[in-house]
Amino acid sequence: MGVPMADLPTVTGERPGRLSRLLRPLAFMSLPTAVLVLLFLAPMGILVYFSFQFGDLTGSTGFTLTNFTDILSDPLYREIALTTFQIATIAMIAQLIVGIPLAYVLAYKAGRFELPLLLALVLADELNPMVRIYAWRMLLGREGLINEALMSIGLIDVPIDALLFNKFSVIVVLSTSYLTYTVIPIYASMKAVDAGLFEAARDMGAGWFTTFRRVLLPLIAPGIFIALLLVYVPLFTDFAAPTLVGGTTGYMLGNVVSDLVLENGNLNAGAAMSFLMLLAAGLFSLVAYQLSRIKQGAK
Amino acid sequence: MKPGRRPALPGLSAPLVAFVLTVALAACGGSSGSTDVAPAPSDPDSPASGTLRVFAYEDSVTPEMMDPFQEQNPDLEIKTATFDSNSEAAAKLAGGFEADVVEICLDEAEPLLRRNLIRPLDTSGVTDWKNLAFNDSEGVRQDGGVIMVPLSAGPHGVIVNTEAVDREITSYADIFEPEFDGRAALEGDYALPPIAVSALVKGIEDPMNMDEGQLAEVSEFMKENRDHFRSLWRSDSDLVNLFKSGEVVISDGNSGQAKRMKEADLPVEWIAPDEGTLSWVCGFGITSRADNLDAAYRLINWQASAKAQAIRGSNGYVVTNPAAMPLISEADRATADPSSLTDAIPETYPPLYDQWVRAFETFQASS
Repeated sequence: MGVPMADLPTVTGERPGRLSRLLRPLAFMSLPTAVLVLLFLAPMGILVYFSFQFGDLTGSTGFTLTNFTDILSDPLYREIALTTFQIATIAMIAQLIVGIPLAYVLAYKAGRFELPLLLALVLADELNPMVRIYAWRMLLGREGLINEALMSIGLIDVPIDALLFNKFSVIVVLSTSYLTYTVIPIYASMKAVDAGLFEAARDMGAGWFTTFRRVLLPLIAPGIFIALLLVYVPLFTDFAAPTLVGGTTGYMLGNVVSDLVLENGNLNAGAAMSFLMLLAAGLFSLVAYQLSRIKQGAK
Repeated sequence: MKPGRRPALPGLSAPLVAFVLTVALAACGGSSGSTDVAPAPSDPDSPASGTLRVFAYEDSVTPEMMDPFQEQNPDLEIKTATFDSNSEAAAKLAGGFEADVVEICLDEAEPLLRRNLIRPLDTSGVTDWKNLAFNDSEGVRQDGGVIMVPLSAGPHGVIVNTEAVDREITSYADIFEPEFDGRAALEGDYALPPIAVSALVKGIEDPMNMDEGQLAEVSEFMKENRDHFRSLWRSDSDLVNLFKSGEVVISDGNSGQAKRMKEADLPVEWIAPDEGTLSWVCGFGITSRADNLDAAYRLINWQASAKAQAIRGSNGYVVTNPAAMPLISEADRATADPSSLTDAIPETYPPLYDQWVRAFETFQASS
């Protein structure tokens, strides 16, 4: 039944002017923008500034590109970058291999346990990183739980040393340290996918792998992209895991920056290294974004 | 940074915070002060007043160390701040951070010296100067002037698990013996200790002043032995954990660490190695922009006094004032005794330190 125009409540007051309409959102944005500039862009600007400065122990400074040329032309840093790339990539792949099925179970199979499981996953991440790493040392160590268990059931006679203090243990620790940040975005993107699509795919004769590859994967590509941003990039800068479980072999780019700044006091070289890593991360993010669009069928 | 002095391994964000802070402070700039000898107070016994700003490692300015000094000088306002390395201290002081007294360690002092952030002391103002160990060591005197008053030391020898190793250990070279493959550790929190230890094992008697050829030789030796080591330890707790968990049975380390392990019922022994015992040496100096020189000398005299030194001795450090020995408990006396360091090799800032850092990076990164 229609309502006569005369009965509709009238809006009192004048329409805001054009200037007011423009300024209001700006006013809302001003505080967050100021915070962003002060706490994020300003330090970033300082970092970039210092990366283009030379500095020595006498305190003299000036513009230079040598921080970058030194790093880029140094075979040692290339070797460390390659090691870091290997470790970070394997750790990321391991997390996706574990994270995607875990997200799937959470999103579609957990039922009433969905929320408790999700909470458990988040709580696991709240554990102090140092405690978590030392816990891994207790698990993987020579007299650790895994070796003790294997020996007690007679599978091995002597402890396996290769479980700890090498690249393998760094990968294990890194893979588990960031798992929450891998699972959550993928889980969130899965929640937006209608489960009926899987049924439709099955009705059309698709097996589970085809359903995963042709239906699920393209639809959760944005979630995987977010996970890569949140996890893969920080993996390159991590230094706690390689320091504590890497033994003499897990030296990564994060350790280089830490040593340059904290041990050598070379802020400029540390800033240049960080800036280069930032650029690489930006480049990687662009590529990952494009790939996720392709998977989705970019509009 | 000094083992036994440094905090546990910094958290994930610590380097970033340190970086941002030091960068921000360095960006602020600061005025230069005086590099003339700081005149000694006319009456060193009269209580100080005004404000005294102390910038030091955390364990040098604990309430246990500072409260008695405050009681002696009730009209003095004492402000303390701490750092984790002299590089950090230099960056902050150069950036305008104000302090009268700064703690200086011989192996890390270079950034402070090169930026003219400290001024020489008049030793006539330091009551116990003539009795202090290391008062004539390389590094304590720079260009004829005394830059710091040595207050504590940490001999760096060999720690061995006596239950797991049934033969006599006498030298750093024992750490590198094949029988300890995969069961040995080496300090790895910064370049100086592992390279100096390796140099001594290679028979280089003056490791701090190695030439390029010697350094290359040591670097190669370290690379050859990289897989021999189970891990590199980065803090006291890290080292204790490695012994406790059975991962290592032998390592380099200092006597204070061994003492703490024994207190935790670990069967370890600390050995002064045949090659000579490396030792860090730290003390207090006066900054070039110090305002309250009288109070600065008063604090240095307190820290060098037998009473304050006894407190350091009970904390596991070697004291520099022998007069403190009778005040130290029987249990701590052996560790604290400065005579144990008569032939020690003080860890000083190596002239080729950049190349040392490079060699250590190569050691850690080589595949």
